[in-house]
Amino acid sequence: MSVSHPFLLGYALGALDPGDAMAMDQALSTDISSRFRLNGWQALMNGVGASQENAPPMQPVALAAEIEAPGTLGDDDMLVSGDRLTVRVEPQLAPDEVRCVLFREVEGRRDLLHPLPGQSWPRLSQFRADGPARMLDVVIAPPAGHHRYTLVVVPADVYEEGWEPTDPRWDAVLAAHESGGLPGARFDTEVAASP
Amino acid sequence: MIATSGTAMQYPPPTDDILSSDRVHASPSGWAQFFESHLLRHQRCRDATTHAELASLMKAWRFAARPGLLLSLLKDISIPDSPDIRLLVGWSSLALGAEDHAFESRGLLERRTQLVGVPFPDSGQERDRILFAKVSPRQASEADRKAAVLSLLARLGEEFRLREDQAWVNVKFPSHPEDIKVREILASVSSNTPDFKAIYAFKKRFGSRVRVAFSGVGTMLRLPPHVIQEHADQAVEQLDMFLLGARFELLSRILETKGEPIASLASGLGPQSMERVVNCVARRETWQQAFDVLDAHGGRPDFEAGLAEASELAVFLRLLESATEGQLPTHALGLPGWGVVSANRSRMRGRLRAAAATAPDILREKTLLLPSLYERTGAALARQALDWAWREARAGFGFDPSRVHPTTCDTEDPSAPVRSRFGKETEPALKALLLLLLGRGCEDDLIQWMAGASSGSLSKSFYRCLRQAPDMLADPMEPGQRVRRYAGLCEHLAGGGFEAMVPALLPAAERAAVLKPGRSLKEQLHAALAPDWDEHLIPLPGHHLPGFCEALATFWREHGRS
Repeated sequence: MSVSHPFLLGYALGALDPGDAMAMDQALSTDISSRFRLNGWQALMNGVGASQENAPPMQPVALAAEIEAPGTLGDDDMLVSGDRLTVRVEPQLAPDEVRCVLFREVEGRRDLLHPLPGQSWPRLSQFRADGPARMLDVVIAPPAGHHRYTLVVVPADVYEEGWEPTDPRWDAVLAAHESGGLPGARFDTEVAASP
Repeated sequence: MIATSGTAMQYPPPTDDILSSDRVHASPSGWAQFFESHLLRHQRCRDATTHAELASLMKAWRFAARPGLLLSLLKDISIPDSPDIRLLVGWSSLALGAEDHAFESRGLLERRTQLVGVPFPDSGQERDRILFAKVSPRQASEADRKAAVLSLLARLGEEFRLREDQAWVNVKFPSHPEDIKVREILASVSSNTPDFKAIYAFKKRFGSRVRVAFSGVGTMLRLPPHVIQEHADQAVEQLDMFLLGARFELLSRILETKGEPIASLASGLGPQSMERVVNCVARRETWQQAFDVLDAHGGRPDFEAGLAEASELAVFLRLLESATEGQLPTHALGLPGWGVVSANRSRMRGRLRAAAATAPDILREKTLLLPSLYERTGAALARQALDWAWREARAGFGFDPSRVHPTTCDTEDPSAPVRSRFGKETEPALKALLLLLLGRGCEDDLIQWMAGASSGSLSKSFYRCLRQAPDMLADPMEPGQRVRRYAGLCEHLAGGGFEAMVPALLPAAERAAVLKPGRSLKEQLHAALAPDWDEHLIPLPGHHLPGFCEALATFWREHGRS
């Protein structure tokens, strides 16, 4: 049984009764799922300007995640359009509790690669399993240049489908990842122009 | 250490020291020593037959020392065999894994430690939470079922002291350069002629608390960012109206921060308010019972101390009632039964706040005497603003000024019967009706109805469900009356009846929540509802079943995990 969303909100806003806040402190010290969901809500609230000045700091949640380019990683070959990246996520939580967000930054511009607008946003459990991990494949697309891929893992019951790619809350998701509140991985690569 | 011989367990002489949380905490072996004291508690609960033994186990409860009181309440209780009780027995007797009997006989506490498989946490609440997630339900004898319930009541007493008492006392409110200014502001807004400059100054200092509360609720309801912004702006704009309507509630919430909240609120009641509280609680069965029990075991001391003690006893009696019905659902942030504690405490505080507001001069005087008013006001407003935001959310953010007023204690007619006609006899009908309403997605309508929504303003679905309510839930028909009315039911639900019923609705909602659409859905849903839904009172649902399951799943997600 996990902590309810309204309780997490009350805690994030410093609006719980002292006894409940104490119980939440204790639960968050051992319950990674609640900590993960709380961080997810806090990131979203930051995204709508509801950050509380004395809000509890996000406690880091560590989930194993990595992005690699099979076959080319470690040698000098540059990636080209059409090559594949593999995203590997091995959550400590049930894959059904998790969704992934994938950003690409090229030439100072950030694109949302996953979820795509108008398409469903599957939970991690719907991706290919490889032992305890789940795998996502990403096809490299133009333009050539420096590409940065950032994967952010978010709690599935906090983040639901329907956001536009331009929604300001994506920035908050990225910021929460950069501050350690939402786990993920980053991959930088040079992409050559197609031959 | 526990010495075992065959199946008969022998324990060291009972001492309170071994149950001391400090000692467990200090132990390097953590879980193993905790298990030892946990099993010892179970055994002591099993053996307790005298007042002294019970009082020692339950010493965290304020009323435990009263001679004979616990014995009179506990000696004859009978605990039925139910899923909740089996889980409780599993926890109390440490049923960890299928081989747990073998571990018992071999005395391998360390093996249990391996089965728990997580580090030993500092807090008692977390130890129990982890245990409840790991233990298996266990069928047990009447004596062990009773011991498990006593063990839980003893632990709930400790958690009660910690969370409802010490946690409040331990909050530090540092002084702030704005303290004097805030005192002036509060003095003005709570006077007979509030100064609008003071209201503006309040808004300037504390408006952000309201903004974040509305933004947070809007976020949680998954509203689009621009809509969230609009609601938050509107709330800040309405803050002056809110403040004028709910200023005494704010003062009473500030007074609550003084320490243990019931005693703190009681200290802000004048003679009239005290009388009002006494009238109000005398109309409630459990409170009346609590006063009767206290009177029979030493009487009541002064009003403040008596109220605090009676409020604990009323909670204890409710817990006992749930236990004897076999209903002690688990709780995400506490032991089973914690939902009963927190719902009752929250209701009591709400009523006391309302009573305190009836004599604002005394409330004002007591509140303004508190130090660190800037921090206290911020903390109190954060809670009040969040409650306001949820109330507005349930009513579609209409910002109706009537919603800022706190619930009052109904004492208009002291000669009215003190016992509610909604009790055990009507519970099956009420449960079936509420499950029907919730399954048909009418929770918002229900909340609006309880809040006094005008007749005919709610969804057709809501009225369709209400029409299926058995006669026993309707108001008595007057001569010549043609349409059934439900004012009594509405009043009962709004006065805490719905909140009290929520734990009893959750098991069915949880069972329905996991069902998947398919050809056998009807059969599965009926099986899931049957233990809590008497189809002779209201027919089981027969159509739109996927939506029914989905709505119950939503209800369970919203309420079941807290």
